Amino acid sequence: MKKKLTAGISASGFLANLVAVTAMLLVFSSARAQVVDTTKADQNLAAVIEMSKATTTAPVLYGEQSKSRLLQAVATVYSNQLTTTPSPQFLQALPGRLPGLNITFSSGGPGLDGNGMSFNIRGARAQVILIDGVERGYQSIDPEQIESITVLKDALSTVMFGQRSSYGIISVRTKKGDIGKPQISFTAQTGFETPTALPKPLAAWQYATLYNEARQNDAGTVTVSPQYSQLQIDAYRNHTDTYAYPDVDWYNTVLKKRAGVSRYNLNIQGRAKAFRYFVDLDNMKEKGILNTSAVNKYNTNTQLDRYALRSNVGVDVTPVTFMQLNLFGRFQRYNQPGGGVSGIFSSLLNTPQLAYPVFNPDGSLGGNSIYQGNANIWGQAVTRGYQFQDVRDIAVDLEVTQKLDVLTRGLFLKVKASNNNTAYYTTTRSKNFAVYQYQNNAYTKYGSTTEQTTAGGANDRYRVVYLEGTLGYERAFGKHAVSALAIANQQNRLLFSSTNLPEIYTAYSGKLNYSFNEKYIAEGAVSYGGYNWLEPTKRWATYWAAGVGWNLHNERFISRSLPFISNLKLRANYGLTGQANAGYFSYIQTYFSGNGYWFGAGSGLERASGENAIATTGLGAEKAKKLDAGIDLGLWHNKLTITADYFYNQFYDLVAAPTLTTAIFGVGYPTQNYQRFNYWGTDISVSWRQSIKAFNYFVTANFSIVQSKVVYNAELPKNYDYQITTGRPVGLQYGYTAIGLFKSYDEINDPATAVMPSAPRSSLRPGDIRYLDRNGDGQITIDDQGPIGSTKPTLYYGLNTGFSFKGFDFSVLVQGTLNRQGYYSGDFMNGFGNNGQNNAYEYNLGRFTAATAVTATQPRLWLGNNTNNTQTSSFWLRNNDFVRLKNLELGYTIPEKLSRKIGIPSVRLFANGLNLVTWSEIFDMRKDLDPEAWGAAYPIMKIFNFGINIKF
Amino acid sequence: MHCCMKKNSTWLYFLLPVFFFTVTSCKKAFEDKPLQFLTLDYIFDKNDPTGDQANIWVGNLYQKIPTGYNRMLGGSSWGLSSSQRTNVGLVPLECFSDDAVPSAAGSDGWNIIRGGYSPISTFDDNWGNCYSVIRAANIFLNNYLQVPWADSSRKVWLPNEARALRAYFYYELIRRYGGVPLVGDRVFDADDPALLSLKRNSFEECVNYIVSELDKAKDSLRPDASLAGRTTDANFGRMRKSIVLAIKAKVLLLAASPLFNPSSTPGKLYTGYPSYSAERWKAAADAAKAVMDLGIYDLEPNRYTLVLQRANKEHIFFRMSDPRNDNIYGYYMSPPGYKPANRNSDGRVSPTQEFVDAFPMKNGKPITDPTSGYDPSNPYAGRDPRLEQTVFYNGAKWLQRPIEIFEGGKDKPNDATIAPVQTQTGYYAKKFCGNDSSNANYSTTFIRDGGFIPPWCIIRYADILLMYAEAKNEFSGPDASVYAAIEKIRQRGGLTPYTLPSGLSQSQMRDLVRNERRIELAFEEQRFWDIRRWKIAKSVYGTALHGVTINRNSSGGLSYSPKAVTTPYFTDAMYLFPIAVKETQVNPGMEQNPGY
Repeated sequence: MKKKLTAGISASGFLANLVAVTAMLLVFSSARAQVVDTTKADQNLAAVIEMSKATTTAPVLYGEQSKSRLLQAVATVYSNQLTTTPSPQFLQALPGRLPGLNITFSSGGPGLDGNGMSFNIRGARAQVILIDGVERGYQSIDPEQIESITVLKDALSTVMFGQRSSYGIISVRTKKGDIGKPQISFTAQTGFETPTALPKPLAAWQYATLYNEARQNDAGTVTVSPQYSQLQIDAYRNHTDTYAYPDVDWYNTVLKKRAGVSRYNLNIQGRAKAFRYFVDLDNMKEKGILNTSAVNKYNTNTQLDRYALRSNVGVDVTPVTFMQLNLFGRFQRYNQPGGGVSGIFSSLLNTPQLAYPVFNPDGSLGGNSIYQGNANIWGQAVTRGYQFQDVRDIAVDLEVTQKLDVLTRGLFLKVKASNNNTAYYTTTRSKNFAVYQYQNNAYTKYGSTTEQTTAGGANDRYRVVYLEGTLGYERAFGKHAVSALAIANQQNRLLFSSTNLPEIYTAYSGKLNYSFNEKYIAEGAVSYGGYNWLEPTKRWATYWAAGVGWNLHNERFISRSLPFISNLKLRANYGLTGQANAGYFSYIQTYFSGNGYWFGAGSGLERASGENAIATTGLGAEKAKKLDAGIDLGLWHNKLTITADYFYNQFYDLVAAPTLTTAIFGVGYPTQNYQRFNYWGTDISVSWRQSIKAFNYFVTANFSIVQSKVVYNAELPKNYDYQITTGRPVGLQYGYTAIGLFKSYDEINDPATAVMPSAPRSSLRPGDIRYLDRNGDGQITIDDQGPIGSTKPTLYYGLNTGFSFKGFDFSVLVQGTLNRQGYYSGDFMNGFGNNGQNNAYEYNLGRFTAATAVTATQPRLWLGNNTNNTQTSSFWLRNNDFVRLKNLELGYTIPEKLSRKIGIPSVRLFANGLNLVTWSEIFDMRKDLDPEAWGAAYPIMKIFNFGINIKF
Repeated sequence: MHCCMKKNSTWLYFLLPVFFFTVTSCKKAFEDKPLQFLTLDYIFDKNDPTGDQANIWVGNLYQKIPTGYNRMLGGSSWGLSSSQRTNVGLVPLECFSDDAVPSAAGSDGWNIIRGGYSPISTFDDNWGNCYSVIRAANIFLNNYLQVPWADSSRKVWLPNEARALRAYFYYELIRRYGGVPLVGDRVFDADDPALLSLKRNSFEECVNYIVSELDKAKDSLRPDASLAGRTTDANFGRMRKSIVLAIKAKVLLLAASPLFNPSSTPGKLYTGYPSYSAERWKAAADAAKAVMDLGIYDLEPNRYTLVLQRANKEHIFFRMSDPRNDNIYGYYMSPPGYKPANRNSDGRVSPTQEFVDAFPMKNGKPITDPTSGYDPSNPYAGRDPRLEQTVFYNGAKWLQRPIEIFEGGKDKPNDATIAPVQTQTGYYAKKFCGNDSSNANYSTTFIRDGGFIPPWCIIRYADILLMYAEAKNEFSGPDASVYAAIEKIRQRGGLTPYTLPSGLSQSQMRDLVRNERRIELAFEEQRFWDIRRWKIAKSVYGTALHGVTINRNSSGGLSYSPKAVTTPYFTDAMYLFPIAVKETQVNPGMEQNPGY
């Protein structure tokens, strides 16, 4: 073992060390486990403590707050709700679980960290994810490590975050091991994933038929010779000669039906005298859906392989000194084909089934002058070598808490330091391949086959250092209870791979919570926040928030007359928050020096220098005034709980480019603080829990409604009211209003019909989109563009329910959004884009033809560009509400009597899934799309997963 | 209690290192703000007598000189656009004149041809580009005296180079928009209210300003290199007296032209002069003559290969090219059946039948002349040799095979899978492509000048001769000097006889000069402006443009039938470009051009 431990710092050595350390821990812990009498109560202690924590305190930005005195709008989910989601990304577990948080993913599968994740909190963009109070790579964590995830939504909950307090925060806490006797938990799970939807291209003969139709459509009334003769179409259809007339189902050729996922997790936690610990080792493997070839000795499929290790150890150094040391390490490798996986998905989307055969008769890769070397999709998947990206994280948090009761009772001092290092390295071992066109028994070569080349290097490397000092005070004097915090903290992020100076956020903050008789509560917080990339005079700003609350259930008139009310709190808070949004020292006027001009007959390059965009002098942080009013209600011993919040957030001084500008200025204008947007709405969550003998069940539902308005946008005068964005919802889509399709040439040539000058009548055909002449001037111009998007409030919701009965447990989460729209445009929708070279889809069969003039829902077909039909218009803006059966888990715990026989106190078998069923409004238009991700992205995956959990 | 305190004192020792850690971390590892940023004081360095940094500021102005290789529709950049390798819609400016149309049917260019342009959707809108050069020049002129120039001639040359370039960019503005705001040496602050109340100066004021600026600069520039010295001149490409004089001739010819002389919209002085004056033609002729009288330029013997050398007898003002780039322009232009070096041949430009018909016979007679010998069934035989240098037509030999533009031929296969883009007219543009009929392969180095792509020539000596002939003929009729200038070009072009019939009327000579400009300077960004300047665009470009369909019968015989290709949309308003709507919106005093 000693030998293993000194195996060095290479990748394999690192893994060997992990294994060795884990083995040691295993031995150590199992030895302890044997001497400790593990009772059933202990096994459930984790859940019990979690539950009791959840019912009495809530995690807040710094520390915890007893729920009875909580005035902030926060929502929390705990570990047991996260581990039912079989995704490598814990964030995948969040949609639908937290009111106020809207989180979406625009791609799926194994891949780079994040998978196009974006989230907003109460409608406004949000960016900050904290892990144990420090902003760092949120990918670096597996769900088992998480104790809770809290979303901080209002001014009072975020104001102490200083210069980034405006946009809401997701705060993740890891487990610290405070559940008593040692417990070893081992989980092995494996499953498979499959795309929720894949585009369905047309069969070759249909493509050819529609191509001819599109070509004829473009020609209008003049008959043109078809591109594909009937003989050719028949050949495509009958597959008589698949070399000359290929019909390749590329999706099924290149992609597998499903790919495997697996995860192994071992964690040990416990608490002994003066010592508590949580140690977690996690291995996750997610394979991609690309087919591979046995010829390659290496893996060309996409694959994510992650090892994560966390060791959180807390020690009472003295009875009044507590030290917490958290160590975290991650080693992750993401593998993909040498040419990258994204190109494969765009080729899959764009390549018609008749483009070329996969292989020629002699086994070489098919292609032609359009699909030259490296184009063949099968080739892209298996003969371009491979590349991988390694990510390494190492993080250390040290926190020391010193009780200072010696000075005054309830006083404590806490010091925290955190150092996080992340590095991304890419290794590319790729090669190129030639393709051959087989025609008349001869081969024409396109492109060239090259030897594998190797390239590698570091990508992003960054270090986050976080320092925090806290002086806290918590004490009750009779009916008065006070808790106070004074915090100084600083986050310093240095991106080694750039030449930038570190980005430093600093805040000096204070908070005071006062409660009288557990009835009347008041809280105030203030923060003096700094951001070093802002101009010196604008670097610092003071933010504040204050709230009041009333615990009505503690009033006699309630407890006597309405005894079924177990909890009733009214609360409200208001505050001023900020958000730094400035470029890199953008207040300094800069000049460039770059490649210039070639002087001299022999042409020597002389460098050039000049002025960059004008400095943003006077630019300060963005601000927001935020109001939150809420009610917490618990009935019948909190069997039924309801939390509802109303918010009204006024964002102002938002940074945007000025509008009163002229190009005569000759250089880029500086951005300014001037936009004002309001967001308001409601978050509601309702929960019912009941136990009927051995049957426990719960139902939780949450709804969030967000509305918004542009209050001030420095708009230039508009010719028509409908062009004005001020007063309308933020981010509304503007464009032409489609009023159907032209049914006939008569309709097109009717002088009363308004058309676009850039798409004159001579270019229009029946089946083209007709637009509303909003201003009635007889032509379609930009003046006819107005709002075409929804002005309805955004609404998102989740419904979570489950039960446990004897050994069985079950939970299910349904998640969805309402009033959602998507803009569906581009070659993918129209078919035959890119000069007619691109693909067409089954959906295109519903196109306009003379026969379907009245019923057609899509425009006529065309090749390449079409000025008229590709304008931004309501035609392509579709309602896209969706509901997903997001997550489902079924578990069975083997009766302890049985499991004891094999020496294991607890064995639980479970099956769960992600994105199992999706219903979307967009399916009315086409069913081969996922409502959240479509086009050339790696598809969103549906996961089916099975596992076993063993606890000692 | 006492005992507890004693016991607890250990925590102090424990906390101490933590505090040290915290305190030492506060020490600054980095500067407060980045110090590597360039400042104006660094560029115009009070302590650097060489002024090297200030010198390269002027280099940036040169870099803004536009190139004409496929510059259209590539976004806002005037330089070679990186997307042009894949975007077949990027074409030369001539595709929006009566000389050619874009081959790619769906490209954005067709929107311009069909729908014209408007303040909302502008075309070739270089308003901002020009003013950014003017601003950069003004920053130099306001700051260069901070440098303690050791080299007294540099101190004089550099500001005058900036001045001359600034004048050239005003010329780029006025030929597009008419009169524009003259901002002098001002460098505005972003919040300067004057920016939003600028008014357009009259066309006349603009011309006078440009000319006076050029006159100011002309004798304060680096002296012209002799022809022999040009090939070794390390400062070749910098502004010289001859360039300034050539630009001045261009400006004065524009000012004398029918579009502005007089104003097409009476009462509006930013669209031209209040009344006609023949003296403006004289000024233009004199300015062209001044370049001729320098005696340092002449026609190159071989018109076709003159682009191969950057330093030659004929090039006057040009944009240097990046020698690190392949000359891929040839790939874009070559007919789609070639695929030289296995690269795509886009055949992006389709010259019109009208353009091809403009080339006379080798005997100098127009093809409409019954005595010219023109044979409609063998239309390319016996033509002006410049036709073969300018246009790929059916049967012409290139890279060891005849070009096949008959229906189904290699270069017009009518099959999108073989040729995604093919000619709309039966012709492809050849100018600037290698003309090596002895070589089976096309190579990027073939057209290079010792490894460099040719510079983009903006003014060459042939242009000066044609400008002279045009202005002189307009002012005083076709005298011997007019004949001489035109005949010199026709002689070099290879016509036999190259002489013109004697006794031509002024109007006959006008037509002849205009035709000669069209064919001699084809695809050099001249025709597009000329048909506007002469106010003939509505008649030659607002009408149907044609091409030819060539069918080959089984015995190999060819038949030619004309076909209409498109009728571009052209209105009187379009003689001047629209000013982007943004400019008139923010500044009520900024008048839009008439008709928009």
